[in-house]
Amino acid sequence: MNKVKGHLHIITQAIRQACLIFDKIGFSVVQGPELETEFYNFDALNIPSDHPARDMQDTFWIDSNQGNSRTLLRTHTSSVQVRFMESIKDSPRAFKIIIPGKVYRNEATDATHEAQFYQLEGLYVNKAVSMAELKGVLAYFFTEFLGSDTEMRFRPSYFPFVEPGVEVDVKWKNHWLEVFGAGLVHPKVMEASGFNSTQWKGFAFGGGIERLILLRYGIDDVRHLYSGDLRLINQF
Amino acid sequence: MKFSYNWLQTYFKSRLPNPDALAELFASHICEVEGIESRGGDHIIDLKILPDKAHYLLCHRGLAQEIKTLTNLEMNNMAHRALPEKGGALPNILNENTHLCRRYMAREMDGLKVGESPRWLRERLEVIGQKGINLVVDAANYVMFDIGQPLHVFDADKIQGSLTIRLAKPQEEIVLLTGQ
Repeated sequence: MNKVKGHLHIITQAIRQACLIFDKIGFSVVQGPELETEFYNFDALNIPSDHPARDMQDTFWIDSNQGNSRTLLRTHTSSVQVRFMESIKDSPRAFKIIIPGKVYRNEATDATHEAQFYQLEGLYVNKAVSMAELKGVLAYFFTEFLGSDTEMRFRPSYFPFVEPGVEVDVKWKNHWLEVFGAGLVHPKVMEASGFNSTQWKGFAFGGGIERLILLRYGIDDVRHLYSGDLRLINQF
Repeated sequence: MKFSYNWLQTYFKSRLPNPDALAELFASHICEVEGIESRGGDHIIDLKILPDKAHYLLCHRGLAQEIKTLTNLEMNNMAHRALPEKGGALPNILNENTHLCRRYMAREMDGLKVGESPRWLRERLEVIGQKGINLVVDAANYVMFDIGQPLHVFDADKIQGSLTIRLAKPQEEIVLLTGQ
């Protein structure tokens, strides 16, 4: 009789831990489809089709449409921000959600890049929202997930769906490493989701979960997480 | 985009902070620094210019203005020499799409010899990773990397009728500079 018991993959464990950490400060988990439409993945997020921002990501387009919309494998979990807000737009309210999920990028793979990987997205919407609150929430998360001595900083950056936009670095072995993108939700995203941008503000953040796992456990190559090699899998 | 430290320095009366300190300023106030390398007496700072800043920061003058804001260092007066003008017909420009092309400027120049560029110009381009081609092409590229205005130089003898700005027609074919 086979007595070897299965266990959860380290990525699943990490996602669950992250969700528990955010749950303690009132964030609920929301999920969305991996096969997405151009509207939710790009247009509603202020990435129009003729805008150079489209070139910032390489997309797996799918050869079929949903109605009149082109479909693709979602390039980020940000599409679910719009879906969630749209679902409550008739009675808008403040909320905090996190969105774990698989995303797809048509990129060359290497030690730190995969063509399919997991992101964790967060969205907080309220009548007044500040960058300080964003920083506080992220500092709390990294302290819980990576350790109490984790240093964090913001650097100026750009994503079409936030303004201002920042990149979030954590200090690891004396190097600053980029882990998340974040910012205050762009009014156009609010409007596209059915929320009045003069009344509702938000902050959003997101990034790859694998990178955090590599940092936390000292794994040097993201592809190890997907190879199915039991020598790695059984360490967790 | 690759920026030459020496080229940036020409915009300032006072000495700029050293390349590493300058890169640190950029990373904390402007955008991500992808790398710094030293190259033949110069330092090349590679900045990741994203779509939000592309309209002004893809040139040395744009970055010099950011440096001025961040450091308050005194800038040089970069007044340009006016060229001698010779009256005559203006270039014939026809803009068929003023919605997409709000402004088009052209000037005719006489007496140019299309040969190799002077060494200073070739070096300026090569240090930021561009190839020197000939005087006319290099001058146009130099202007683009200096003040951010893309240009094209046409051989006036080869233009028939007016220089027309318009959208391509469906199924239209064109021959590129590469001959394709």
